[in-house]
Amino acid sequence: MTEKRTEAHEKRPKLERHLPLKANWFHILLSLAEEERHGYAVMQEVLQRTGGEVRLWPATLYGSMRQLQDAGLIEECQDAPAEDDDSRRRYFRISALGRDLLDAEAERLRSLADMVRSRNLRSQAQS
Amino acid sequence: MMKKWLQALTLTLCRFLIKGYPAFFRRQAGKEMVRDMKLLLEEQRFRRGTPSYGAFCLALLADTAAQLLVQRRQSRREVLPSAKRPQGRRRTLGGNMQSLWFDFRIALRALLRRPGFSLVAVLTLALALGANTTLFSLVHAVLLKPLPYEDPDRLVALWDSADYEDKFRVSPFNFAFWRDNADSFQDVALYGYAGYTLQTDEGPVLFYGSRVSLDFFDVLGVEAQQGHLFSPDDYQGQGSSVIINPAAWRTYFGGQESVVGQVINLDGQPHEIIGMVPDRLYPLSAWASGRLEFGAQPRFWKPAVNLDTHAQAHVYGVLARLEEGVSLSQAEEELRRLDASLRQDRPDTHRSHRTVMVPLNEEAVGRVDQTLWMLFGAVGCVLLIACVNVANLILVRIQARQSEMALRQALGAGRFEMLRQFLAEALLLGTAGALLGTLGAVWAVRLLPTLAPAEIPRLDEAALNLPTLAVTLGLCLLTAAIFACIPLWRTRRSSPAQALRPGGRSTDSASGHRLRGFLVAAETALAVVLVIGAGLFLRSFQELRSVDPGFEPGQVLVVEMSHSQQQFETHQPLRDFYGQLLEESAALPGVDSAAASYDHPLESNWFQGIELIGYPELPSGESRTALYRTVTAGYFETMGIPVLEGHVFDGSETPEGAKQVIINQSFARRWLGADDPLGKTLRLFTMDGPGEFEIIGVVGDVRFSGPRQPSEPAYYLSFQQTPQYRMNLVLRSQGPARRLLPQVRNLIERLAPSQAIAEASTIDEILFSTVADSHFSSLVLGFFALSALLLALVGLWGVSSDLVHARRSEIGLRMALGAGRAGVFGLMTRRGMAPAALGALIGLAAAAILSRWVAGMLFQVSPLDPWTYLLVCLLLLSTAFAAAALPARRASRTDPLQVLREQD
Repeated sequence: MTEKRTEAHEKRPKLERHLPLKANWFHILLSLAEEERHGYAVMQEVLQRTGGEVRLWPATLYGSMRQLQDAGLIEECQDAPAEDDDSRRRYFRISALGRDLLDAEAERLRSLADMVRSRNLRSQAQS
Repeated sequence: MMKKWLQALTLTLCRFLIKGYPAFFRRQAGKEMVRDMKLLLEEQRFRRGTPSYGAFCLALLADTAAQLLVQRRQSRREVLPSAKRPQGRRRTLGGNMQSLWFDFRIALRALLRRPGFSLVAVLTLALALGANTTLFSLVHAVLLKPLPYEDPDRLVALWDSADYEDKFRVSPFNFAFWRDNADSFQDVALYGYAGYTLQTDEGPVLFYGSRVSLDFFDVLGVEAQQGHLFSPDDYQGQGSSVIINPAAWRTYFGGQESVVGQVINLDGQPHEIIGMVPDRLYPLSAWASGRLEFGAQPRFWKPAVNLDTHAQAHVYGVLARLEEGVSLSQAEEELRRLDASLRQDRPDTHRSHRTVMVPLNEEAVGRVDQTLWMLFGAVGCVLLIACVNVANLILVRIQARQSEMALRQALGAGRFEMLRQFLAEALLLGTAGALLGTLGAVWAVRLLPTLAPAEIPRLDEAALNLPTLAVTLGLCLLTAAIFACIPLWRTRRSSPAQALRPGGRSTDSASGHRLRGFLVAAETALAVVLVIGAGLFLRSFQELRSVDPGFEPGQVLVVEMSHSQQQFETHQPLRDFYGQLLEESAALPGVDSAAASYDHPLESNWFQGIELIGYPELPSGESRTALYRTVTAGYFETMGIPVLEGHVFDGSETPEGAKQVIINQSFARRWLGADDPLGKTLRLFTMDGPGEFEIIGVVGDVRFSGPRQPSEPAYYLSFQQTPQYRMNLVLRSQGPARRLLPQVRNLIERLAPSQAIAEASTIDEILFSTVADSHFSSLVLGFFALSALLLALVGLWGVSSDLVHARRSEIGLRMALGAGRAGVFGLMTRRGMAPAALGALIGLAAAAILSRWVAGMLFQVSPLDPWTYLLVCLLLLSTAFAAAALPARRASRTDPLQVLREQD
């Protein structure tokens, strides 16, 4: 338990450096958190999930994925999933650090949302 | 279809942008990215109800371009360790400047390491950029700069036209008619030649100016600099108010402060200076042919009064300012209506009248625009050749610098860094060339106007001003960009590892040679086009010079004189003056003969209508016209004009006696056909009114309008019977004619102390001025052609030398295997000359096509003149042979043993 805590403490500053998470990074990490995907699949999934609101253009997508990879937040899979026949594509998965970052970002957003909510309640109570 | 095309274009552009991504990232994700882009574009193409496909493509492109910047910045951060990175280099202006400064320092060092290359490149660029700057400054001053008047686009010149002449001067009647009836014009003004004798402290001088109508300065939109402009009161009486320009103010009135109000003596009459207008180019008078003459020398203006006395005399020019919002075609339409009404109402004087309207800027430039644009095109070719040459030099350098560049690449320099480095070098070369060229241009801009023909207006305004320097800067940047891209393109496939290997050969020297051969062929082709152009103009100039002018040129002095009626109130004193002047000047030492004439042989005045007694009138719409001259006895002898039939004036003619006339050959041929001209009677209109004249002789034709124009019908009247107030004294001398001038001046001063004489010239100078434009074109074009040829030969020599150098081992081997010196020499010369021969062929074909554009500027020379083409071919091939033979000779002297030893 103590060991785990220490590790988490070491990770903290590393994670905080990336917070708040860029929108592109957030969507890519979220997409890869579900399953291993290649770039085009990430693009399509994000578009679908956001109802066409967020489109990751190819250059931005691959640029961001390179940065995510460099930061150790995602990893390239060595073998393509069995069901996929397109072996020319590179598949990516989220790393443990990436998952932690996603959690931290979700936590941050939640606390922000709570803050807004509590302010709203107070203003309603005042009125 | 459109969408498919858009898709292909977008993909191509994206691919191009991706090429700029850092190599690591490009290799990793480039292909995948392109595949995804293609998929996306395909999907979107068939999706209905989406917004514009174009916007989608644009967004994709914008994203790819934006990512290019992001990735480059990121890769730079990764390549340079933070300790080495200048502080704040990426973000602050100071940091950027520091990095730029660093690039330039490295570039300067690289250039100084190879002084030979740098010097040749800079000199080549200086020549081309300097020539371009000079020519552009001329083109800008003459063709592009608007005329120095208010709203110059609304100014037009109006001329008369009839079936017997396309364009001629305007009568006061027509001027008044346009002024009163044409609604398209805001103002209409008239102006005409005036030359008076001004009495100054240094003696009498001829002062030229213009008689103008009240609205003249309003039409041009000129304000008085001192005093005021003409008012209606100035047009009362004889019009003795005068406006001068600053040049006159400085030259004749010593630049005194209170020149306004000063009374001056013009032709013996007092005139008051009422104002001064700014120094500009003012239309002063119109030539007979209907061309404006502009003057920037000392000038004056005075009111044109008593126009009614010569309402039908076609001696004026007319300017008009279009009403605001009225287009040229609208004005043209109105003039056509007015022409029709004039023809109908006044059939006696306006039977075939038509108005010609020409925009003033077109009128001012005349026919020189074609010449200037042609020369500008030629100078553009020189620049191209210079660029090709420098590109060639750079290619040679790349081979020498291959290992340096490989080292840079191996150390992590990306293509962008390499481009920046090459750009810095190219910019240094270009800037040095441009600076040196501009220095040369400062001198050339002063020199060229002195060589140029007088008919190019506003040449004196040519200067190295802001637009000219901006063009030079633009050209400099453009050439630098081209030069920077060449090495980058050549090294695109080179592998650092291969180039760095000891003894490693250049990656693609064969294709490098091919490219350089192609460049040499291209510059040879351009040089051939220029040399053929220059050759054609030179031949044309020769032809012009060899035309028989109809008189004997040589040592003849022409002195222009103008007299006033105040000076000689009646004709008799004028006759006596000339009688005495001719007698005494003929007696001057060195003078063979002396005479006088109204208009010298190369001055074309206007056509006069004539009637032939006993001949039927010509069909409607046609009339007989001829040029006229008034001459004294001895004129034909002095000028060397042959007398073909009958006899000429001998001085025995009297005003009261039978009136006599002499005609030229063209007159006889055109108006009398096969009839014997002698004894026929002409009805002519002179200053004294109409009169009948008997033809007493026929003389040879003279080309009055210069060698380009055929001779026109002309008749000569006797000075004794029809004296003129403006005459030219002509003296044929045994020695150089100009030496007579001081004696002639003394003589005139003695005979008529208040008589001014204008600048005198020799007939050879006047003859030359009629072909000065051709001389100018051939001289300038010749200079450019020579430069082009020289540059092309330098290029050829460079490639041949390089070829010999690169094939040294092959030559050594051939010779070791028994090849003779002659064989090696022949082989290398052939290879060296191949690009030149190819270029010459392409150049010949291009010249044959392009020369059609200059056909109109040539005189009696076909644009496909076989002699010119043949000579240029021979010249080029022989010089190319010399350029290729020198390195080939070196090759043939190769010592095979030494080469083979080097191989080991």
